[in-house]
Amino acid sequence: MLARRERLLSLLGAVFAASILALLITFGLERLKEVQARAQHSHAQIAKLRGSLRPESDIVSRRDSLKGKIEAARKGFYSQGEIDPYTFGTRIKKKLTAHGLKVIRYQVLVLKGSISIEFSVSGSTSSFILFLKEVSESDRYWSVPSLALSMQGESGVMDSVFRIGYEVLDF
Amino acid sequence: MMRLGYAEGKPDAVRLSDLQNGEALDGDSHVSAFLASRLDFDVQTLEIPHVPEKEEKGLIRYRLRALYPGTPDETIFDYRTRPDGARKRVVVFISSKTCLERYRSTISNTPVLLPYCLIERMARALRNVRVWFCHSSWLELSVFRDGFLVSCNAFRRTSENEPDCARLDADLPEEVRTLPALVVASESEIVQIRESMRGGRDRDGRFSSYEELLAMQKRVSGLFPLEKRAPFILTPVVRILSLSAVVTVLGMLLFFKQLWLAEVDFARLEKARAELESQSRQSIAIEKESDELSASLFRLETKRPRDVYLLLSELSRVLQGEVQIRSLVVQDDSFQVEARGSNPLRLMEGFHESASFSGLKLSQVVPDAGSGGERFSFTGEFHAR
Repeated sequence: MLARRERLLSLLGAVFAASILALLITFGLERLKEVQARAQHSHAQIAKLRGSLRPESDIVSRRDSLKGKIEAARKGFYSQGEIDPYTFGTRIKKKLTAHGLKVIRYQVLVLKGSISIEFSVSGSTSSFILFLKEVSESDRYWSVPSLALSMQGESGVMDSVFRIGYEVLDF
Repeated sequence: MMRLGYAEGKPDAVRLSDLQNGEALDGDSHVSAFLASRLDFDVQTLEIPHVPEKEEKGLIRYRLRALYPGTPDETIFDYRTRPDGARKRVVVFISSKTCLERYRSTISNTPVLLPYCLIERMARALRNVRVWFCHSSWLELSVFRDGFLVSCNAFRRTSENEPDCARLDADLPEEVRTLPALVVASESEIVQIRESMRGGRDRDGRFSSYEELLAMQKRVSGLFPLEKRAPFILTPVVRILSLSAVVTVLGMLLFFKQLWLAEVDFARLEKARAELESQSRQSIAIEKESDELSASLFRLETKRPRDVYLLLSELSRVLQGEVQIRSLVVQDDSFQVEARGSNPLRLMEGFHESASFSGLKLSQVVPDAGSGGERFSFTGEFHAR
């Protein structure tokens, strides 16, 4: 009777142990399967990311290059309030005079919110070209939106009416 | 002095008593050993060659088949060996399994002795001797030559037939009868035996009571010891179960190690993926910043004014001094030139080859009577800044 009871208890214990083992294995297999699937997904994502990722040095280099270019371009513009039309006009008039050009008249124009100064000058063509060269090589952007130039015969003298302005950086 | 019990097999049980006083005992009585009834056991002697100890029992069992009539499967034996030159002398104690199990169930693991175990030391000292071991139920005659047991016979004693040593001696062969005698018996029987032997040739025989015999025993080893049961953990079933458990545990460990390795690998991949994602986000942010910078640069470039001096320089390069400009009108990107020169069509080709100009249109070409060339005007757009 006792042996039968012991056998039954042993059998029960074995069944219990086998159940625990089966549960553990099932849990482990499910976990393993899940981990493997997620690892595969991660592999695919990593491959995709690696394929799309450009070398960081190239990107940074491009950005730094653009920053340098912008910095250089910004230098040509006046900032807000740095200069006014009258100061600018005085400076241009001085330059024209310095080049031996005769300023016949000038006026400040405001067209579509843009301020420019219209000069009517007369003088040597070469002096006027040198003036334009100085305008072109100026550290700041000076714009000449319109220019009318006419030669007076073969003497090398010309009459010119032109508008000149300056560029202000508004952003 | 050791206390010796006496055990005798009966049809229904094994009866226990004190060897010296005959008082009944039970299985729990404190005795050093039990002397087994000589009638329940047989004693045989053999000679065997020297063989490895592990082969001894098999050889004795084989030899025993020729000496003992019992069924081998129902027979159980124990033995004592002593070397004798090139051979070994073996004393074999034989019983039926049933009888021994009955003994064991009664006396448990208390040592079981036969007279040989008690007299062997004394007989070896005497070398050539015949020993009568007398008990109320039986007599045993053991013949020793050169200290070795050569024969051992038992005689039943009943109320109808109660042989004594002296009477039995008379029937012994001459060569046995002439050997010195040693009689072991109870005190009371020794007195009787002395009396009966007084007239015989063995009147000088040695006598030893149970008390004297037991007093001489220093240590006796029992016969038919209980086979040591293998510890529970070493039983085959347990061994198989243990092995299975170990294999299972190892298997589980291996399996979970695999799982752990997969988890570690996955964690490593996740870390790498997170790093790559971070890099990707950073790259996207830098690229976005670069795009914004590029747009800003574009806006700045757009805002940069047309360079009139550059226009004049380009015009002079294309016109190559062959043309005299009479007037020039520039309005934003457009320009109009009135000039005097020769072959204006060829000049237009020069404008077309320049990337800075577009939309060139030649108009009003008229001969110039003064210079012999042509007066003409053209319009176009200038793009360089």
